[in-house]
Amino acid sequence: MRSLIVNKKTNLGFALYCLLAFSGFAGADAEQGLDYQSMVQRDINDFKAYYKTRFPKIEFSEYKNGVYAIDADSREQWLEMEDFPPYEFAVDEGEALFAVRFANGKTYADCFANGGEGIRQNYPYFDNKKGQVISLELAINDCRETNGEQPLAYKKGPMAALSAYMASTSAGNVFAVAVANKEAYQAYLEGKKFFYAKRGQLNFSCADCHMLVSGQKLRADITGPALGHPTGFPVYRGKWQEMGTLHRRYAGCNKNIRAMPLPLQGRAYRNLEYFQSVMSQGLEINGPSSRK
Amino acid sequence: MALLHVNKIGLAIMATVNREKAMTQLRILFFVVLGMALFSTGRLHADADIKPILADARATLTTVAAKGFEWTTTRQLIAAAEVALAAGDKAHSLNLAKAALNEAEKSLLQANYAEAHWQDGMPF
Repeated sequence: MRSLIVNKKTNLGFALYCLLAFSGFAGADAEQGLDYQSMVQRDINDFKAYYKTRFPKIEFSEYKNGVYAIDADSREQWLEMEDFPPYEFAVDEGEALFAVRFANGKTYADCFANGGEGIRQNYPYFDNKKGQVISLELAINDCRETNGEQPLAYKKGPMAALSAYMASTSAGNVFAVAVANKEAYQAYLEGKKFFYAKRGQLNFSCADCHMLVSGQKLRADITGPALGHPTGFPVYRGKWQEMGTLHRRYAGCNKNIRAMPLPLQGRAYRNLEYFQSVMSQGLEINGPSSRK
Repeated sequence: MALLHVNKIGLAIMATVNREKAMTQLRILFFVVLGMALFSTGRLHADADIKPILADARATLTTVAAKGFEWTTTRQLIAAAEVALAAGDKAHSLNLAKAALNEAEKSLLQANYAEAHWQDGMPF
């Protein structure tokens, strides 16, 4: 009888062990089998649906034009400005810079797929080997450093010009940024968290200005929708009186809410760009462009 | 005799009045001394407390900056407090140091709250 009880205990223990082990394997399988792109697609659908409800008359494809998609007066001024696009000089400068040979005889074209033409829509992407998001500007500097050149500053100047030229060769191509695995999803999630988290002395998030009050005035300016934010960068901005990169704009936004800007092309801003680009999936590249 | 008696009463009354005057003077002196003591203690307190408050503000700011939630104004307040302290304006320096610490602590609260509740900012 006693041995039976012991056996019962042993059997029960073994059964419990098997159950735990099985559930452990099952969890691991489930984790391996997660379809990250589907999870992200749900976010994309929610994001687009939000703007569809907020601005029911605006076509999805219009969101590539930022605030000019939703405000008629601003759009009229912008279209007049586009008669003599202020970013044209930067495109020409970028084209010239792109063709310059490095000291080792190679060029930018050697670093990129398709010779660097028509590829803007594939950036940023998650590099599995490096374990981080690679933006176009980071790839440009990576190319320079690989070929023994000094990196460029990320805010404006030659970097903005090179980025403007590469974007111009991709005009009309549709954003195609994927989130394929767990690590990429983690980076995407970090960007998403940044977008929705309140920060700065004014306690604002990106979503507060560019979702909740998009289309309304903050002082004299109307805030643009976040959908399509990255499509037109780099931009010539009236306030700057020159070209600037997307990360320059991020830093400016952070300053506006009295949050200390983070390093341009640092991990946080690249993850934010990744999230925003994924949300803009399906919109055309129309950079460089001009903004107020 | 009656006059003498009256004088004795008068002297007694005068003595009572003088005692009260003396007591009043003593009271005034007590409050003056107490006031001076409090004032000088306050000064000493201010001198002693500025540096630890500034150190706290700096340490908290470092933590917040690492989380990416530093405010643009906190570092400026710390710098201004240091300048005021170096110039000998201790009262102003103390106010600035307290404001800096207050900001640093609030931004840390913001960072921790955001970490736990960032989803609350999603409008759908």
